[in-house]
Parts: sequence; structure tokens; C-alpha cells
Amino acid sequence: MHTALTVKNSPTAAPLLRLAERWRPAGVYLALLEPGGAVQWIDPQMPRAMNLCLTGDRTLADYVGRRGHPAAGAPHAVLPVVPGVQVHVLPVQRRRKIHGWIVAVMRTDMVRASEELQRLAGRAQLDTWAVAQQMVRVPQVPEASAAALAGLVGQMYDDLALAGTATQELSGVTEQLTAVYEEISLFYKISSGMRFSQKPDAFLENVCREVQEIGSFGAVGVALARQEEDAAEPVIDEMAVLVGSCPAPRHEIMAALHGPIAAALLAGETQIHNDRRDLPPGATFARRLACVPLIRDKRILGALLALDKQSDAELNSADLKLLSNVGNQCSIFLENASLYQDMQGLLMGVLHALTRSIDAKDAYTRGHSQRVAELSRTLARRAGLSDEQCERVYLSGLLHDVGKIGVPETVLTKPGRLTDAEFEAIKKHPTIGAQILGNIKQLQDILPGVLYHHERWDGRGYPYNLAGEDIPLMGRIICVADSFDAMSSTRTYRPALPLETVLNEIRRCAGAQFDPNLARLFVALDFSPYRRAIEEHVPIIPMVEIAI
Amino acid sequence: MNAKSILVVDDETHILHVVSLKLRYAGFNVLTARDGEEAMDALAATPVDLIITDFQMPGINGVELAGQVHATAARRHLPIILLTAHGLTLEPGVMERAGIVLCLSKPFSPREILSRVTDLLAPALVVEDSGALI
Repeated sequence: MHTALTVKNSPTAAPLLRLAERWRPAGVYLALLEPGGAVQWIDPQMPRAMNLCLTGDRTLADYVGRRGHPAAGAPHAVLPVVPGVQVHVLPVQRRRKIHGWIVAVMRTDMVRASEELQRLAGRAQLDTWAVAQQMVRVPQVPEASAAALAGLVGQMYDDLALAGTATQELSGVTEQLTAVYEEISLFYKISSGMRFSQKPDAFLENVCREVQEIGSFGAVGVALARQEEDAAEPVIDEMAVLVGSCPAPRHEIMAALHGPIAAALLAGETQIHNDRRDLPPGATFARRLACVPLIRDKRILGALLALDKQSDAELNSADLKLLSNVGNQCSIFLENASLYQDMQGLLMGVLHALTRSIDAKDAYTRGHSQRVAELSRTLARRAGLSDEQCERVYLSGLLHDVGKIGVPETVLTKPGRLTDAEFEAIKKHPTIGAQILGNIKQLQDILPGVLYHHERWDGRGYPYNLAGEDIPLMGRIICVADSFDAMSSTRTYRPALPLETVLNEIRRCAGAQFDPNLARLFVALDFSPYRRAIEEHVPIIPMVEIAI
Repeated sequence: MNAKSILVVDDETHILHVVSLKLRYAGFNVLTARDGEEAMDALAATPVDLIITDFQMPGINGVELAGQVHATAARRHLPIILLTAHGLTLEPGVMERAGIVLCLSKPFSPREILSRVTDLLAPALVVEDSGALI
């Protein structure tokens, strides 16, 4: 006997609540039963008298209980409870399974104080006459229409339930679509932000940050592979980038995760560990781990790691897909950046070899070009030029004496004074140098340093007697560095001068030979690395970061 | 404090769905429209606090729509965000004349849209609360 009225919030009940509102005025009252017969929902605004017909005895419960799992197309039944009242029961059926029962109760005729009504009222301890009176006020439904109306209620319920399911599905799809949008936006950002000339760390850090946010990971990092000269295999032993909430210092994380990283590289595919027990004993800082190997053409570039989800949930297939895709893009970037660095290295190696060989014709000028390059770059930096411009100055300094290749060796290495003719031969080296390099498109911007490094501020230099600011800045910078190095090193015609003497000479010639501003900046530089280079007669090791 | 209302205009329904869902989850009321005409109708019926509109649409485009909205005194203050295909650049001055405060290119990140919308609507919230200028 169901005397308690319960309202349960459920997706199955919701459509019925809306229908009950519509049908109540017509005298059709609704309820919803669970498959087993328990009342899930019964219209609270149903007149007590009608409610009694549903819950007053076991007729309804027994019917439903007996039905169990009927065959497809189970009939829509009308139960006899009280004469004048029809109780229609319709199954809510999906694919042969009963999900519940819709009950529609209607008054189709006058309801007298019949035996059945007395019995129901008695059980509920209600006065039969009072109940009969209430029945009079319940709107009457034509008997001939009752079945059709009940069927209609059932149909409307099905349609509403279907619409509800569709709406839910749409929400689900939209959520997934939102995640896809984020991924697409991320990949777009990554590809358009790729500049192979930039340092990997800056690029990777940006990528890790974005991935960490989008995937809501605890921490995301990249370990890069390092190829030692004589080693057979590259080694991964340093976490280059780590963003997010880092649960331990980088070296600790790196040491602990060595095993899983190696395993992922060996397998050649992303590996996910959701169980702490799968992780090495040292990895106490994480619960979940994803390792994405970064490999291109069998070349090991590094590994992308994700530690934990912020919600502490397991890493799932969506995470796997995101990390693998990002890993792939990182691999492409790293491979290209590496090739680019290789190219750079090759180019600079060749240029250094070239200039060394020119300088080496005269033992006293060994290392000269590289020292001038280094000094020029330092002066350029002090003068406020951009990093990129400073690197161009370096290159120009390195190549400033390339033209000497066109000067007879006997003249270059002659001890003692030169004749006028010999001097004229040497004075050709700036123009010869500019001719040699002139056809190389990528070196156009460094030609001024090669061509004008012997011009003087007072206009008495060569080859064109340019004066003051008409002399391109690069030429003026290299002029100072070149003269300084020449005075500071031993030459065929005189020994090296002490540092202070040289600096005084530069001060003295400021405004005459040298740009006064550059001279002022130059004499304030720190010369200790230079001193060592001169003593050891070796070039200062250049640090080349940005390319041609 | 009532929730802020946002109108989203785009002829591609998947974008309407994604942007609406993201903003609704964050607590905003969201109205949608599939072209300029529907948008103007929606605005006539309901006041909003911000408009997000696509550029390329049948009928009037996003900039023209923004211009029309911006031209009405009652709506001159409305911040308008324009979604454009990547690579599209507007002439200088066009944005200002149309009341467009921000251009976002597709593919956009839903997270970023939410973040920008929150920034644009937040200061107003704070001022209303305390009445004092920040």
C-alpha cells in the first residue's frame, strides 16, 4: 500500500511533470511508476479521491508486478478499480525493455458510493460520501475518448523524453567540440609561433604552458636529448622546461623518471601510467604520468612529460591524443631547430677556418680577425645595438681583412718600412674584400665593416676619404677594434704596446682617427679576457647565438 | 547582482553552441542569432551587456552590424567583440567607428573568449558594487 507520496527528480519523471500541468485541467491525472511497480511520481495536485483509486488498494501494483517483462508492444491496459473511473496503464518501453509505467486516471462517468468505493474509502479511513462528493467536482472525460487520450499522453511522453535525450546528447557533443576547438587553436598557435632560429627553450616553454592549461595537467615538461661528441647514443639527463606546480626540483624529477622515459623511447609511442605502483620508487611526487617520446626519423630528440591532472582524475585517451599531437609538433620543431643549428655551425666553422688561414700567413696576425670580431661585438653592445645587429658586427669584424688574400704575401709579412707602392697594395684590401663578399646576398649588410674600417673620422682615411658620420657605423666600430688589436699585439715592425699606452693612444686619437663617442665607450671596456687571449696568442672563443 | 547577458551572432551553428555553452557554464545569460537581422531583433527585445559577432555572415557582415548597434545612443556603450578569419585586418579607424573593442581570429580558443569577456565585463561589476572608482 502506497500512502507516502514521493517525488524523485529524474530524467524520466521530468517530461511527465510538464504533461501533468497540461492535462490536469482536462481531468486526466498522471503518475509514473518504476518498472517494478513502486511509485516514482504522482501528481501532487491530483484530487485525493482520484489518488485513492491509484493507491487505495493493490490492483495497480499487482497488475504491474504481474506484467514483469512483457513482449514487445505490450497492451495499454485499463484497470477496473471503481465504476466510473478508468485507470489506464501504459508501459514506457525502449527496445523491448520496460523503463517504467505511465498511469493516467480519468473519471468517465458518475461515481456513486459503490461497494468498491466504500472499500477504498474505508481502508484509507475516509468518509465514503465525502469522497463521492469530491468525485462530482472532478471534470468528466467522455468514455469514448478516454483510451485515445491516454494513448496520446503516452505518445507525448515518448516525444518529450526523446527530445530530452537529444538535448543532453547535444550538450555532450558541444562539450567535446569545445575541447577540440581548444586543441585546434593550440596547434595553430604552435605552428605559427615556430621560428627555427629561436632557442628551443623559449618555444617549448610556451607550448608546455598552453598544454598544461588546456589539459589541466599538474605539471608539463620537456627533457631534451644531448649528443656528446664520441657517445654512441644521445643522452637525456636534463629537464629543459617544466611548468605548472612542480612537485620536486627538476633534477630529482629527471633522475626518478629516467626509467619510464627510456621505456617510452624504446616503445616509440606515448605511454600512460595511472597507477602509482607502476612508477619507479623514486617518483613519490606524482601519481599519474604520461611520457611522450620525441623522435623524428629514428633520431631521439627528447621527451615530453605530463604529471598528474589537476582534478587528480586518471589520464584518459583525450589526454593521450593531445599530448601525442603536441609531442609531434615539438619533434618537428626540435628537428628543424637542430638542422638549423647544424647549418649555422657549418657556416661559422667555414668562415672561421677561412679567416684563420688568412691571418696565419703572418704569425703575428694569428687570431687577429677573431679578436677584432669579439671586440667589435662588445663595443657594439656597449653602444646600444640590438642583439641581432651585434651579431652582424661580429661577422663583419671576422671578415674585415678577407681582402688581404689579394695582397702579395711578401708585402704582408715584410719587416720594416713599406715603400709607397707596397703601402698602396695593402690599402686595396678593403675594396678587394668587399668585391670578394659582394656577390653573397646574405652578407650585404656586413660589407660596410669590410669596406670602411680604414676610413678616419677626420676624413684622411682610405679608400674613399669619408668623414664623420658619413662613415657607416660598422666601419667606425671595427676601425677602433682593429687599431686596438694591432697596437696591442707584437708585429713585425714593433713589439706589443702595454694596455694603458694603447688606451691613451685611442683617447688621443678620438675625433681624429676615431669616432669620439665610440672611442670613449671603448676605453671603458673590461679587457681582462682580451689580455689572456693575447698572452696565449689564441682567439677568444666566440659565442655565436644568432644566425646569418 | 543580476547575471550579465551576452549576444552571440554567427551563421555557423556549431560556433554558437560552443561559445554559448562556455559562457553559460560561467554564469552568463546567452542569446544567440544567426545573422545581423536576427541579432537586431534580439537586441530590440532584450538588453545585453556585450556582443560577440562573426565577421563573415549572410546579409550584413559583423562590422556593419557593429556599426548599426554602435550608432544607437542606447547601445553606444556596448563592447563588441569581432570574430574574424585568420589574416583579416581591418582598416585603422574601422574598429573605433563600429565600437569593436577586440578582434579575435579563428581558430579561437573558447577559454580565451571567456577570459576576454570576463575582463571586459568585470570592471563594471566592481564599480556597481562599491560605487567607487577603482
